[in-house]
Amino acid sequence: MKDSWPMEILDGQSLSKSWLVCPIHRLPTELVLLIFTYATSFVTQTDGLDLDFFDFPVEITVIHISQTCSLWRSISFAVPSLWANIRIAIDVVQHVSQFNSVVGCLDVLLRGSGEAPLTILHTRPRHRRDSRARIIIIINTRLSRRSQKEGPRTRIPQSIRAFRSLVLCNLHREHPIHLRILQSPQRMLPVAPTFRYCFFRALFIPKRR
Amino acid sequence: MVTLVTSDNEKFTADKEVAERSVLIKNMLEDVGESDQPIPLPNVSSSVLKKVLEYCEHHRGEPLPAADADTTQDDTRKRTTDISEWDQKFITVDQEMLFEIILAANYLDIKSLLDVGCKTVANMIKGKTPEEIRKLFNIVNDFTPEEEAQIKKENEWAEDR
Repeated sequence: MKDSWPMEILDGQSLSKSWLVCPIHRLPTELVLLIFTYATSFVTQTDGLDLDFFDFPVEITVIHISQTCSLWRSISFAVPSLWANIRIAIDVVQHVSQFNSVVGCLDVLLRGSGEAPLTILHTRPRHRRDSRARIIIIINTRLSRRSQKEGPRTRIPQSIRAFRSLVLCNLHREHPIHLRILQSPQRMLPVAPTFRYCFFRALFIPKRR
Repeated sequence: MVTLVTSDNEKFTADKEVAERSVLIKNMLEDVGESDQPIPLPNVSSSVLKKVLEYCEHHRGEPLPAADADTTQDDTRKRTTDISEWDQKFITVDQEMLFEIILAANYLDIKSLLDVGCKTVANMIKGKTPEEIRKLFNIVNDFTPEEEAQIKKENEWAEDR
């Protein structure tokens, strides 16, 4: 277990008498945390493709964990790294209100992630046809609202601009942000076929208004 | 052969190679040296140790994770919830036994078994709403009115889903 996890905040909470009827409450905090780490992490392509289960374009397991009971809420909010693996399937977004919902959800995730190094995974769920052009238009509408204030920019691939607009517009953090694209980077970024990773530094990110 | 004594005073014998998949037992055997003394396991019941030994027997001979495994390896391990077919069948038990196995794996320091148990629970959580999770694990909703209000505020984004 990582040394930095603030166990002193949680000591003793999992030993409540509720374990008599609820076996999972028998587990000590460090094991509950290990379970949460598995539940909120991802590495394989199939992991990234499972967003269909949620009927929503953002992976929200950590939000559901934090809203299950007081103990789990304490544990999840005490560990920002649980909130820092963000999976998005932009292609699922079909209309502006859903896009606003995505932004609101991301805001909750980003607040939970505190200053933990952030990993953002873009994925394309199964059985979805490409609606990316549509969503990029929506996102770029937002982007254009800020571009006047930001001044002239160097040429950035449209998808990167879209992601920056979608995820990073109201973020100010110390650590680099790691944007990870597993699915068809060539399709995602036709101008940069070898693109795999992109790092944003806080200096480039406008503060929340 | 190694003799193990459970919390309910039942004796099990196992090959040293199998028993030493537990770092705790391995260290104890190293400490006592050559001896026929049974090893007491006061935190493990006979029904659970039977399952644990079944797991160790199946995985005997497989490389053990190094004690000083680097953080990258550890990080990768934590980022996948894939479980092998045999392990999935092995861990298909009732919740009572599942959490007992996890606790035993933690106590006996059998990292791979601990992973299998925790990944299984993680997979049970994934994709479920808070209400579904509570129902699955028999967890009581014990939020204070203040916490409920905070949660409602956090969920404002969900209204337009």
